[in-house]
Amino acid sequence: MPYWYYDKKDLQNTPSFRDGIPTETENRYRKEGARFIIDTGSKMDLGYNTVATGVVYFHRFYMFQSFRTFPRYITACCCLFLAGKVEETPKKCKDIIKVAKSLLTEEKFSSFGEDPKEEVMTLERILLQTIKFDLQVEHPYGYLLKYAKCLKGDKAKLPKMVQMAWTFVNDSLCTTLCLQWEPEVIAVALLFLAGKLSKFEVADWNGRSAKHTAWWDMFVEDITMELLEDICHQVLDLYSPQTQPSGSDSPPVASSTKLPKNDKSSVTPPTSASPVIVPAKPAVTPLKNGAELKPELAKMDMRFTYPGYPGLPPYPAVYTAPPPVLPAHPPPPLVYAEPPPAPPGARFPPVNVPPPNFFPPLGKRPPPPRAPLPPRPYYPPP
Amino acid sequence: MEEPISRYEKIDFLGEGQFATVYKARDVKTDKIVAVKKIKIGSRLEAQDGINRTALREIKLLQELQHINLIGLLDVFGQKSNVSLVFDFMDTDLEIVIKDSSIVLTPANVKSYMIMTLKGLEYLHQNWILHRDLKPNNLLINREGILKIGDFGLAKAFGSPSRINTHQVVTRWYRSPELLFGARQYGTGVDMWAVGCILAELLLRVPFLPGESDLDQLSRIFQVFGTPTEEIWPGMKTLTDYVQYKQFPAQQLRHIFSAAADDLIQLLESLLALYPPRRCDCTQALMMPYFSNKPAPSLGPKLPMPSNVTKIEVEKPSLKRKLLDNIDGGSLAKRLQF
Repeated sequence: MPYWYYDKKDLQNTPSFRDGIPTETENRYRKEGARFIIDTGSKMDLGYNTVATGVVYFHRFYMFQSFRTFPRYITACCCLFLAGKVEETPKKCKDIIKVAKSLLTEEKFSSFGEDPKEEVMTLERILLQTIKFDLQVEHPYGYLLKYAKCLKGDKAKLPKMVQMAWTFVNDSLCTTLCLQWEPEVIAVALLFLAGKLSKFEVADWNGRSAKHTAWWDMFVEDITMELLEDICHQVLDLYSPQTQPSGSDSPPVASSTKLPKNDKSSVTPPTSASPVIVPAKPAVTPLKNGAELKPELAKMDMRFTYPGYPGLPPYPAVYTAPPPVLPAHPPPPLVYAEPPPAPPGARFPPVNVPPPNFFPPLGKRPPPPRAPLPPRPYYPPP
Repeated sequence: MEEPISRYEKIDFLGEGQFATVYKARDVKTDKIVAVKKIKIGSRLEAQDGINRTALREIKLLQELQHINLIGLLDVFGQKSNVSLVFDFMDTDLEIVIKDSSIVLTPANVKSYMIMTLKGLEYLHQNWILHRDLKPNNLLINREGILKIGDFGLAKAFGSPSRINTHQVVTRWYRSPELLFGARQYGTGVDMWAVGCILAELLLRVPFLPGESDLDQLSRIFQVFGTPTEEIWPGMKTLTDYVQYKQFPAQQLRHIFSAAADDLIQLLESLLALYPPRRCDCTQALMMPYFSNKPAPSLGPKLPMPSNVTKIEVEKPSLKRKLLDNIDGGSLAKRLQF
């Protein structure tokens, strides 16, 4: 089986990058593609599992292919199409295309060519080969619930905290985290983040032993605070204003017909209900966030026009500082007393949030690994 | 990337299904004989919705499963226009063995087939997968006498209590009563029932319950096991497709399988319990006295083979000579174009 985890250096040197697409642009394409899969999937009532599988296929695909060769929205449709079949929630190709058409501008939809269905079908084979027929994908959701069930603390805050973590996992699909870390690690990090933001104190946890210094040691060994923070920041970066106007340019195919900048979609922040619109990252951050990767960001990054947070030594302080004034949206309270409302600009209701009771009935399933059986009396197999 | 076209050298055409064509081929890299299943994508009609789901299920599930009694998926490769799956080559299957009247199946043979089937299925169930299409035709046997469960086109993960499944699975003769009543939530019991029918078929050498329609299937089941009452099968009447059947009395299995010993009858009764929760699972089945009592199961090479399989083995040298002659004559073995 292929190995699907990359370090940050590899994530920079992608086929698209070698094809002349700057890393920032590629990340935006990834984000838009992932968001589009999420939106299309939710509109078609596909479950979070199918959507997440589709997004993982999408990210993996572009580790071997360039955005210049394969326009992102058609690849996104194809990933969702395949994920639907793999996760036993099949959708007809033509229905996916229909929804895609309704979600995309005419100009973006033009990348689907004259016969969109045929395009997607042809791409399916390329997709399968590119992802090396590795169809079975695991997601953080299951781990998230499993871990949350072990945590002991303020019972009243727990559901909100898990809900928030769940939304972070949804949104994390728009990052390349699934190409960097196993779902277990992502689940731990985003549960940690949600815990901090919702002020959920983990007083104790089931299965605690003397060698555990923190609750996550029980689930992922050797996870460092640096790593946790790095993952949190990659997700939080989604909520900071974008460095480039998003989605206003044509797909990066040969003929670049640039539309006038700043159509209205260009200021749309991540649309899924982010439980917290988190303050932009300060200009000087004490936290390691792959800062070495974006040396020139400082020049163009809008976020730096927001008030920075002077001297931020301890980690939680970042999130307890007052939110910046965002021009387009009224500043949301940092810690919601109510369930997070959908951002005003959102076209669709929050995606794939777990059902209201937030702990889906995991059922009476006994754990698969069975206790060692007594030696069997029957003869050895022929 | 390795060039797969040249890696598998077509030897023979084996068969054609609804969605695939199967060839016998030689893996040039390992010199192993394999079965190459080429998924049809060609015509528009078959390609209605891209790569078909049965193939995807096989790829998805078999890539993660490894057991001596499950068919091995050795490789998957694709060209521009199609996808092929490479499997262990299997010489025959249980249906052919059962139907071959020149083969005598001894109690030891039957026990051996059952052990191999149950062990493969046990592994599958432990990994939360239902096969959902067990029948003699899908129990493949190679010339070493190893039985492997094949055809995972309907297999599916189970265990999610909220999951609604289709009841249109399993070939009718091997379909369990709860499926016939339209149950949407079911478990390992559907596979266990099928194993019971296969065991019965090994003893009778004809299909045990060859229903002609779904209604007839249930009627045949109840004629043997008696029409279940609410006590025997609580909740039966709540199933979607429940229909009332005439009250048949239960028959004694020992009268139907007059040559079977008591331990075997016990296993049959346990596999073919009408009420799904009372059916045994693979692990329980393998613990039953039948498997530790005499006779001991036949070892692989001692299992009977249909005449054509052994024949191939005998003829092998002559075939080779023929091939060599051909090479002399300048015609090479045909390459398989996928």
